[in-house]
Amino acid sequence: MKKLFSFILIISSVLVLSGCKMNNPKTLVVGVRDDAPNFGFSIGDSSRVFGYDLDIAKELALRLGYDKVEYVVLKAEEREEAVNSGAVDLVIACYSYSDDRAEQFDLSVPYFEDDNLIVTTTSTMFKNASELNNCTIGIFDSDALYECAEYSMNMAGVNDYDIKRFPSYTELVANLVASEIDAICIDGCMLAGYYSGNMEILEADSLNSDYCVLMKKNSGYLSDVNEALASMKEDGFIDALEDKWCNTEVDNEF
Amino acid sequence: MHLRINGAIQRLIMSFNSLKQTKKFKIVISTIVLFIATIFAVAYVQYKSIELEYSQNIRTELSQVEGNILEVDDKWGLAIDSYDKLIQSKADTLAYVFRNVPQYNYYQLARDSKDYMVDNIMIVDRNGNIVARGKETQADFKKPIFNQLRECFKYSTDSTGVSVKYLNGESYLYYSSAIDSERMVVVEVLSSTLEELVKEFSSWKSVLKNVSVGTSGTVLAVSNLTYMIGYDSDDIYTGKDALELGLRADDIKDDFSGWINLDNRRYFAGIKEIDDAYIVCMVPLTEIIVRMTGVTIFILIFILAIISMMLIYAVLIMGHCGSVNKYVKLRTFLGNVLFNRTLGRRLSAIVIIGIVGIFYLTLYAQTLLSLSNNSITSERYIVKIREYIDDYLGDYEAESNYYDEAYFNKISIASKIVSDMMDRIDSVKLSELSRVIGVDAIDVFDKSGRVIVSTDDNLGYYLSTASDDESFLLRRYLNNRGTYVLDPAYDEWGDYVQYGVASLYDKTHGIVGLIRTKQDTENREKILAGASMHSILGSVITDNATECIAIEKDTLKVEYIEDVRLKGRQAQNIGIAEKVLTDGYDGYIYIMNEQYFANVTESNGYYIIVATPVSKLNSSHMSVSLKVTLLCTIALFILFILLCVTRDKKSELDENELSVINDKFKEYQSASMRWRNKRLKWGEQTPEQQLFTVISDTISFIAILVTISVFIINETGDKDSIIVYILSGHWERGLNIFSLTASLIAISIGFVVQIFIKRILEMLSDSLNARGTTICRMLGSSVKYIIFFVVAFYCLRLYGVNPSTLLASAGVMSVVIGLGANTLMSDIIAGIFLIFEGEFRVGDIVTIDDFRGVVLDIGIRTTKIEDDYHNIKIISNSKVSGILNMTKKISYAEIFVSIDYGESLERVEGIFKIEFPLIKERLDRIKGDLFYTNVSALGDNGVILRILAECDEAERPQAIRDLNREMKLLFDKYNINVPYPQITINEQIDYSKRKVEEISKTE
Repeated sequence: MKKLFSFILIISSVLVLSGCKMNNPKTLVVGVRDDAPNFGFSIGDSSRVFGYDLDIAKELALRLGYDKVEYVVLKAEEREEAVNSGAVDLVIACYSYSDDRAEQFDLSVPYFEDDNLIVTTTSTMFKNASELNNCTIGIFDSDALYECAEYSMNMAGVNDYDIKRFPSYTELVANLVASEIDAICIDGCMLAGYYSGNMEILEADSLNSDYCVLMKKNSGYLSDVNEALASMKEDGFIDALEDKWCNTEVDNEF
Repeated sequence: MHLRINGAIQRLIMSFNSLKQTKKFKIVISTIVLFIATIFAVAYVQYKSIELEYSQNIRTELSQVEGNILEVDDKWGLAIDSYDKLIQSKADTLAYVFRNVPQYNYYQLARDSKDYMVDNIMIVDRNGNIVARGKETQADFKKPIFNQLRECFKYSTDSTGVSVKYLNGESYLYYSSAIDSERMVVVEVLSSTLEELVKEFSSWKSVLKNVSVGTSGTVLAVSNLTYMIGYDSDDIYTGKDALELGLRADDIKDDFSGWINLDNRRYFAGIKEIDDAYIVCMVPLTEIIVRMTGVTIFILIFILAIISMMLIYAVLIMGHCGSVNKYVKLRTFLGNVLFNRTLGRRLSAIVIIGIVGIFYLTLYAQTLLSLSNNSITSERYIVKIREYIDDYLGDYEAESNYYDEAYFNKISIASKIVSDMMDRIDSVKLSELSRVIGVDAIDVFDKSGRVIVSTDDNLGYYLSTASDDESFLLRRYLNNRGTYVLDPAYDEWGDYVQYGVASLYDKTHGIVGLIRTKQDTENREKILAGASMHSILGSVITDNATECIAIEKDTLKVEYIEDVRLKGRQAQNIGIAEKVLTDGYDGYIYIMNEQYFANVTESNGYYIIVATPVSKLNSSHMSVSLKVTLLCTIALFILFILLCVTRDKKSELDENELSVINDKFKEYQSASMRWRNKRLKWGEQTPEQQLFTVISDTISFIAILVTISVFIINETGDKDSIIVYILSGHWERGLNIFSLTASLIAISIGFVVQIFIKRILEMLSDSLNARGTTICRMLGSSVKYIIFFVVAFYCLRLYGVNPSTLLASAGVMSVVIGLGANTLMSDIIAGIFLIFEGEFRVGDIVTIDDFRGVVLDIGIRTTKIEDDYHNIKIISNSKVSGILNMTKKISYAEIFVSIDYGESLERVEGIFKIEFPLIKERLDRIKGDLFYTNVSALGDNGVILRILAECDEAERPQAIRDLNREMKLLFDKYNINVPYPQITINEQIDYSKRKVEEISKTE
């Protein structure tokens, strides 16, 4: 009977202790986007956000030793504010590297490096960006992309062109298909979300955009995050993610 | 019923108590643990084998899905291709017209777009300016997106359309064809048709609708990026997020096989990554549990029975024959132990029966469940095939209509063009026309029926005027205005072609001739009809072993079978009997001497057979049965050891001193009880009898259980239940597992009904008088016979034996036997009279043919009488005669006592007067008076007195004996002289001579 009693005591104490631990898991709060196809987006009435950024966030939390990740959905313009106010620990939301930004914030090494592509429809019979004279080029409303588009056009020697901004990628692509605009300038991985058989990627020189993890200046996360990202690159995790999300071979009919 | 259950519980409690007394409590506890462990182990073995079966099936189905995708992709490509070609040929035709018919002007474009069945026709110049148009368009052809259309100026290409989806949501396709170096025709069509095609073919539904798993499995297509569910065969989860439904992302990977959770339900699933989706085939846990428990319950009940039998037997034997138990000393690694040989011998018999029973039971239960499961699965396939055939026929009709319509359109356009350029047409122009319009050949006939221009070498060919000639038929089209599409037929060169005929008009709409177009339809027909059954059954995805076979109904020719060597042969030739080819057949068939379990359905002139080879169906059963048997053997052996082997002999013997009851006596008692339809009390039975009681109670319990469950399932059960399937009787009659099961069910129900009626009658008879009792008994026995015959008839029917033919053939026999059965009939009739005339009843004491006894039973054929020595005489009812019924009134026990002549009669009578009331009090058996009826006779030795006592007839002999004893004691007490046998001995007298004086006197 004594044995039994002590056994029950041990069991219950273990339960209580583990219960305590379960009540206070280490949570990493990550800011993400839900309007960037393949990086952070949701489908239909699902409340879950998925994509490249989310997969990175999950893995990062795991490698940094957190038990749980909490996602906070942010708009593009809210990202910096959220970090500064401390509402989120990190932002992993298509935040591209620039020297200006690096001065104000802690920016990790890039977890994603992508070309900006000039894309048009197959029926234009264009093969090279230099053919885009007198054309309208559409971009997602972002200064970085505007820069990219200008850069590509200049490098192709095209002087006579318009750049039109669109508030969402969906509208951007719809306008391309509707012949309202003639070409679009888009990040390669975003394109994967919209790519279909009658799109043509033109030969062009383009700027890279490097996506980084955004942190408050001197928040102390930087070195750990960089280390974790480096290990992800090393063991092929990042390659696998690129295969998964940025595969333009697949038609998006599904 | 209630009483019996109560009794069973009491018995249980008693044996439990006795267990406690005998301190064998440990054994019981360990037995229970053993039992539970065994059942879990058995369930686990079952579960593993079912899991394996499902995982194999799912794997096969998934690999078939991959093949199907390629097929669907092909079809999709073909459909889009032919659509492109069709519209392109319209653009080409228009360009041809503008080139060759100068009177054509641009104002006709609106009308032409109707004729050509397109939405809009435009003439566009090189720079993209619209020269003319049928109606307004949203397109701006200056834009680079239309660059592709301008390619037609460079070279003639098989252009695919330019697709534009405008912001208002309308989607158009554009096709171009150059008229000359400056202008081109642009045809605009709404792309809804193409979009529908794409939608149909690109959805997972087109591939996965043919897949079904288990009896209630589901198929899902989950996106490999977003984990959204794109297709659900039950259409519950379509469009939902698989991760939100509880699926773990770690589980969803290629070649996964195992358990998953979805929407709080557990499934066994197989997953394969195909293209951009995970195809998940999953079977709910409940289905596996149902299949598992089916077999396990069978085994559970059986093991329970065996173990309890062993337990009760062992404990009771140890209780009763403790003194005669023989022990053997065994030396084991645990030290010296004692092996109870008596018990061991008896228990080993039970163990062996148990092991053999478990083996066959497992085999039986598995076969039964897998067959019915298979039948349900096949039923599902058949539903799918039927749907598929209906779909296919719908498609076929729609598609051939579409073909005909398109062809009709071509011919009427061609006739219009030829009419317009009748005067200038030559074979070069005609060839060009036939090429752009997309037909193989065109012949132009003039009004007399002579070919004037032809793309083939048919110049000078005449339409015959002879009515028996084939071409005469065409002649009538010379007079009948309009366009006709003829049915496809073989031409003289053996090609399968479709001709179209249309009249040619002059400007005043008078008929000036006729054109005939020819189109090779071989490919189309091949696609549409040729391989129909093949493509339908070939694309139905079945599990591991199931095969689909199509047999033409009229000719009984095998149209489709997996083994191509058997294709085209007669059904009988490959072993399929004609009688199984009926709609709804469900049972065994033979194909090339291999036994299959098959479902047959009839659809559109074909018998569709879904068959599974029995060998594959049963492949895992033997191993599972062996495993289960092994497990049970181990369990029973452990129990055997537990019961038979003891370490300490002394304590064992102490326990056994509890009872010393004469077993022989018990047997007599129980035999007499059997005749009385009553049971002995539990404690008064021998161990064998107790065991028998337990077995019979168990059997009744199972029978009741079966009956109740059958009724419940039949009322409420769903269609997929095995019991419902068996009850439905949709299986082949004959000696097979279903008929076996059905007859077991029938016997159970019959048994329960009989017990039930018997109980009611017994209860009735308790509250009725003797005649009522007799009628109840007779009713009881007739019910028994009736139920027996009904069940026997039913079972014979199930085994495929027709009892009426059996009876008819027995008719002749019955005449022969009839003479012999004469006595039987007379017995029965005599029995009926016995009962209704009430000459005697059950419980009466009668003398029949000098045999005195208590009537135990008046049967329909015999009457049973038990005498005082508990011998039972069975008398045929017809032999019952000279009945002496002694029960009617009070009987008299009569004794005679003698007193000596020397004794004073007055004194004795005085003593009687004083003592008789005392005797009466002492003897219970004397029910009424005890009286002295004076002197019966004056005997030789003494005076014989007669004494009578009123008593029951049943107790009369004993009453007499009691009285005799009392009288002896009485005589002793009062010194009444009992007469001794008195013999008068006379001395011999010597006869003397006559004396002289006696002589003289007379003289």
